[in-house]
Amino acid sequence: MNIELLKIQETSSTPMENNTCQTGSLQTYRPSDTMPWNEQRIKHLYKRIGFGAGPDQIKKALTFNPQNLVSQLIQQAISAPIFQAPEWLALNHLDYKENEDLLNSNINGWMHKWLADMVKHNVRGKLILFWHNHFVAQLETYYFPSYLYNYHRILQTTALGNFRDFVYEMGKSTAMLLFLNGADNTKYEPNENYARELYELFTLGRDNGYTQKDIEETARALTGWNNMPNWGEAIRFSEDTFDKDQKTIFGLKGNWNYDQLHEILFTRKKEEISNFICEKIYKAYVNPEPDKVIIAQLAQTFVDNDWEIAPVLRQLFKSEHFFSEANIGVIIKSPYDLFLNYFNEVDYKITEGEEIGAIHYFTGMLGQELGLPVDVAGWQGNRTWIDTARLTGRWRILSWKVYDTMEKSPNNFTELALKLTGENTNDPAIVTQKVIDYFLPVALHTPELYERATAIFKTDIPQNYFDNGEWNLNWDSVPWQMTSLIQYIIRIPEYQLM
Amino acid sequence: MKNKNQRYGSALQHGTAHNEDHERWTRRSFLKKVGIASGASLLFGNLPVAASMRSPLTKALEDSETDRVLVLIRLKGGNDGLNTIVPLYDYSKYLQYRPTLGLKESELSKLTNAIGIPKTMDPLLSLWEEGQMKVVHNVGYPEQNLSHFRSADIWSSASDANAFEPSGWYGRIIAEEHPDFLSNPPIIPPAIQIGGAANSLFNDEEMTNLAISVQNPEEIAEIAKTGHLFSLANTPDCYYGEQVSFVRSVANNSFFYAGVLSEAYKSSSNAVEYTGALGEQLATVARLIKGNLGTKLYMVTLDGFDTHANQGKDHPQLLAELSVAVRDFYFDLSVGGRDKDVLSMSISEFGRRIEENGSKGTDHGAAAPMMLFGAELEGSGFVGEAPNLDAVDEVGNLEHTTDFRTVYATVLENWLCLDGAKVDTLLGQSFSRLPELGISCTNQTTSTKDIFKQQLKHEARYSSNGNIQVYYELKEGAFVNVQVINLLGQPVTTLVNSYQASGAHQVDFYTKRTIAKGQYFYRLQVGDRVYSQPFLLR
Repeated sequence: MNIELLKIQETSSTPMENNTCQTGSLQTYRPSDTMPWNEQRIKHLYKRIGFGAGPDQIKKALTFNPQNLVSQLIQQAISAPIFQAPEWLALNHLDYKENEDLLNSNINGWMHKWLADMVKHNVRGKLILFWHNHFVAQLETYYFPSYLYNYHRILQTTALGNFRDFVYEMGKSTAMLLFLNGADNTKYEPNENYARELYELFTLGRDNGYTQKDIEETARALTGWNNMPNWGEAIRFSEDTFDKDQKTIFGLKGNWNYDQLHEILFTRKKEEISNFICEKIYKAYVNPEPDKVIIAQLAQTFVDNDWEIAPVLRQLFKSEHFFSEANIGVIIKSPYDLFLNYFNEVDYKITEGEEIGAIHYFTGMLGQELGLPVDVAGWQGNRTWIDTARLTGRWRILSWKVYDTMEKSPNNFTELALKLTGENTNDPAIVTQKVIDYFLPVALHTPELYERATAIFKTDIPQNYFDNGEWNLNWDSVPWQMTSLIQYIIRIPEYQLM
Repeated sequence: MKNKNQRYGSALQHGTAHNEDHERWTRRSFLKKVGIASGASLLFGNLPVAASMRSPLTKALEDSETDRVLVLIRLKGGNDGLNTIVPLYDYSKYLQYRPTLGLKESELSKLTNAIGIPKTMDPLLSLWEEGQMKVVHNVGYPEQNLSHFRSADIWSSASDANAFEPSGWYGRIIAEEHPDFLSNPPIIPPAIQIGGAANSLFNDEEMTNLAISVQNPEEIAEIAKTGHLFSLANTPDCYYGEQVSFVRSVANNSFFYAGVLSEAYKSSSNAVEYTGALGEQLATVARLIKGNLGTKLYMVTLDGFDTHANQGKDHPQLLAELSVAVRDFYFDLSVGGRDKDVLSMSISEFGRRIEENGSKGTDHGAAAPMMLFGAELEGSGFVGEAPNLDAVDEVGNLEHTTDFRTVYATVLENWLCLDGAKVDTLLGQSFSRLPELGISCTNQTTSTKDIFKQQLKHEARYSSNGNIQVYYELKEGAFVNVQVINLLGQPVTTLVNSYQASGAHQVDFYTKRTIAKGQYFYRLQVGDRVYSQPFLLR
């Protein structure tokens, strides 16, 4: 079996210098002595595919076959419920004219609902966030409840659907037409903005298989989406402003319209699109350092499945490559990763309303807020999430949240400690080690680090109660001890990784 | 069996103390918790975010008014005073109460005919003979609380036993000296704690801990050596290792105190090889003092004094460790010529029961002696009334004869040279002073300083419609600037930027849709003085 593994790695075009950094192939991961199905890999899966798991979920997953677990998680994401249309959907600009508060509250309410859904159905939620950051449309530019509803509905219904349909639908959404000036793109005054981003950001990647001429001609094919009688109404297609003349796109001449353009794009540029999108998925879900060979194989799956997203995800998350040690802990948590993983880790049930609002505030301050990707290219992720201000900000905010968790439900921490140690114990070093290993992606490399943390966990309890074995996890001091320890753990640099 | 139950009872007592703490926190608003929320004892963990962001170049090194340093040596768990400062004046009664634990004459050295110390404390005899050691007898406070945690908090807050004061007396000093601590923290760490959980002594009113604290002396020594919070050597392999290095280096950059710590540490050395846990802590303190860091207060901790059992073996060893470490510390300081600048003082949450228990130990008690060390004590000796073994409370504990706050008040006024009236304000009431301690500020180059002179009343007020007002009272007309800043120290909006007349002012901070709910600070500048305070936008 090992020989087989080596063979596959030999075919890799990017040989690694260090053997320990090697990652497996896309072939299905089968637990083995060298790659056991253990807590670390389960946490890895849950954190990457969604926003983490609690101790019970992790324990349960140990009894599952990893293939089945991945299938199940993806199936759950596919069948998660779609929001029903809100009652306010029919309200128009006149209804809101004298009532800005209502407009604000409908928008805020929907953003909160979006976030709450992201927490509840977190595999789909994470994908929606991913696609939101791909098909960026900043809320400020289309600030109207029904536009938000429609934009989010496309994300929610297509996150695990067909990518070609995704692009097709997004380009016609009012939110996008407003954000990237499709609404201004007429046969009289073509506007290239959307055409450029369609290629550069949404499908092909910068300077990858298109020319400036292609953009100009594409913009013309995209004209006509200009009919908005009133603010608040969906933008409709109008023959009057559509450019019916001949265009040359990717060397093909014709009187191309919106539908035909997309047909051409997805038949002529299969390799570019599939590689570009799979690389983006790979960097977000597996490793910020792309592995071109793996990405090309995923791209092939994408094309073979006619742009269906789910098969790519299944192949990826079931692979030996995904579960390879060298891919564990290499992603810097986004602000949403940071908070939502924390809540799952400590089994804390977020209440809708105030707490959801608080998450908006926290993540917003740290540079990530739904509806407000930093620019048209989206959040760049990885190391751009962290600088001195935002790292200390992460510590400070999360510290408060840890304290708040203890105060709202002190038993959470006691139960967590009991679950992680498996049974009550009177050895603070054991508890400390289990808790650290639980929160960090990879165990700390020196015993001194565990010793220091153990001292933190002991808090102000005189040493003799540990020496004589009197202390145990039933002590009333345990929630506070856990609070201190977790506040310490979140400041360990490795905690920023997953 | 009986004693086993007793000890179990002590454990339950801890629980009660913790519950009390929780209730205390619950009663306090969301805001008040933000400070304690960062209570994890990692070196930089307690500092407000702005403190870790500020560049050392933004402000010239602050002049310290005096070179004097106060070192608190915490004997954690409740030191047995009667087996530390042994009452030879009532020796037979002492032995009667303590048939197995009482120290035999052969185990004692005499400080005077009336007072002995265990022979394991002999390393202190040189300090005693050189006139550098004072013992304050029988120190405590009214209505002694027997919970470790609660009593330690009382010692930190210097409040009455029935009052719940979240701030510590030193935290209050720091907050007064640096009213804008959150947005403009001092360039020198105002206090450093080594060992033990972050102590509430350093809490301000908002329960923000304003000290640097580390559990492990190696940790601070390491940082001082390398100038790094986290080592950049010895990182894991592969891309994971690169990511770890990246986050570590950002964390290192965020902690500007690393620079001054490192500078002080590297420019000095220890003249003696310290031993033991307390010795290691004091070794680092000595280097930072000798390297002229400028920090005024250090706190070190020796754990293990909760001697419910086997005290006969453990307690003398702890005192030996204490004695050797203190002796070495002062020798080390004298080689650097700094021994005259350093006053050290032992503190402990309580003493122990007069009568020994059935498991060769002692249970939680009340009054106990404090020991002070330093070259400026003007002779060794005793201060206050020695304990009367017959004057006991209903539990059988010693009734205190000197309030610990009289010692603090004396040290604050006569060692750290704070204005007397202000010391009373700081401690919440006026305590008598102990001139017998021998310390004074007369030879100090700077006279008593009035850190309260620019006190200004200011607060955030919450109105029912969800708006927030910043309220402040100007004693005289001044240029005023009021800004709202977020948790990361970024300005959100400016509310006032103009000259204002004396009197009360109130400025509204309207909550708009674009401003998310959560914690913010206001930063109030009056003339050249800046104040800041957190508030919550709901």
